[in-house]
Amino acid sequence: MILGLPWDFVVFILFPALLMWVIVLLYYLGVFGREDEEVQS
Amino acid sequence: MNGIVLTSGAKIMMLATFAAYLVLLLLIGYLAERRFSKSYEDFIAAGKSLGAWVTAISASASAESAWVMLGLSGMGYKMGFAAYWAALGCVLGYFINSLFIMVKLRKMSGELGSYTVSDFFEDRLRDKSHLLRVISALIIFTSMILYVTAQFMGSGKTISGMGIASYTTGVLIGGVVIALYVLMGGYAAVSWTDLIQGLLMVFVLVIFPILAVIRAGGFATITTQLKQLGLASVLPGRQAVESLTWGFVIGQLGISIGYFGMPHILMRFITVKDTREAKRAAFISMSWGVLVFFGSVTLGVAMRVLLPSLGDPEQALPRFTVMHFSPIFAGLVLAAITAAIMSTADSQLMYASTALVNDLWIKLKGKRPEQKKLVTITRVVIAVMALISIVVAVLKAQVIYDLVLYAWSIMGAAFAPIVILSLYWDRYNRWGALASMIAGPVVTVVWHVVPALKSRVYELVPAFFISLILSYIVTLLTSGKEAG
Repeated sequence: MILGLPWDFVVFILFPALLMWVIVLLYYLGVFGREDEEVQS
Repeated sequence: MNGIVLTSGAKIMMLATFAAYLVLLLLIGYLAERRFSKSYEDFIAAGKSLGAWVTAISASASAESAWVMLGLSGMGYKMGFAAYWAALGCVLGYFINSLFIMVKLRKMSGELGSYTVSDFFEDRLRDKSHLLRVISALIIFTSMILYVTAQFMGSGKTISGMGIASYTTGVLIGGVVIALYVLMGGYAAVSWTDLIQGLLMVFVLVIFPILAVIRAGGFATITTQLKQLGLASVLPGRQAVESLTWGFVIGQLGISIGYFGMPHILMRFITVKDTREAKRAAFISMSWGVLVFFGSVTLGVAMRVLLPSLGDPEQALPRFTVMHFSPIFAGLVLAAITAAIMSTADSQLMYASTALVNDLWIKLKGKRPEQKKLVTITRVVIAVMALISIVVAVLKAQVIYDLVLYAWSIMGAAFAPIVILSLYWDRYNRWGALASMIAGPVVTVVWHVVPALKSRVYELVPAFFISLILSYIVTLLTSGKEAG
């Protein structure tokens, strides 16, 4: 168990979900994908 | 047998909370009517002026039906941790939409001047024959009738499940209230009420799972107890649940495919104010999704420990509320569940009527009637669709989950490949899109009705990939002809 949760749940479900959330956060903050903003209509 | 018995005092308090919520929705409908029913563009697209919060939460709330409150928590109750695959599949869908679809679609549809998804297909693929418009409108209309009916059935089931009224009355309450505020305020009413409904959903699906986990003794206790039942692993072969196979895992992750093919969700990305707001909306939507999906499964998983003998797993949330909280909270949860239902059904109703009036009638007729007449016609279509769905919901009973996933699959397989290829492949043409629109629904139906296929993997996965590949091949084969 990791923090009371099954290890396979943490590795295969929780981690990928949090990773996706962080990637979208970085996108929103402009760490990448800035070209979308620059060419906005 | 699983019906909840309430005292008359509790019932009155619960009903009062619920009634206040319904009145709020009607009030929003009225306010939207005052501001957004003067012109037809305002009525069907709120003048393309929606901000990030309304866009994000309304797109998310309308994407999620009663399934997210009842079906998903029920899945957590029944399957234990394996149900989180469904949550991950949904989050994956939000991720793809947020990163690859939202901003790009807003930008391209803005450049083309498109108001609806069918407009976008036709404008982007330069289809002067209107063939794509006609077929997409027909697919949308059929799928949405099915979808709206499932939502009304969800309304009946929820209200009767909480011991408030009969199934038929529950269907009528949901159906009539939705029809009224959509009729009044159109797309703006749908989006604003969806914002309220989406916030209510996330509130319930964050607070209640936390309380359920605490009452169950924390995650360590839940994991230990589920381990004894063989429900604490997410990997096939390690679980007691026979249905946890790799086919199941692929199928659950495949739910994500549906998100970028749903016209009523894509419409929100088209009507957001600008690309900057679209980017903000992407993050808000993603955050909402993570909280809601994981919250719902967590509630079901905790309920398995709190109340192991629940006959109908889909009653996990209503039962938890009635068992542990005051009737006012029960009213709030009832409102949240119906919110999930209403936010989906209203968007479907609105979009289906827009498909018929804007995408078919106006464009095929060639001549545009006056604004007021168009708004009236759209309202009549909304009323007729709502009536048909209410009648079908009252007469027919089928598992909500099946119905919703079926419609989800048809639209996902038909439109998702077109959206992706339209946004990312310059050579993509209308013949390729046509191939998707035909192959997607056909493969979905065939896969769904053949038990040997259906039992292997959720039909959307093969239907999407076959549709995508055909779309690509047909475009390549016809590209010379189009260029000429």
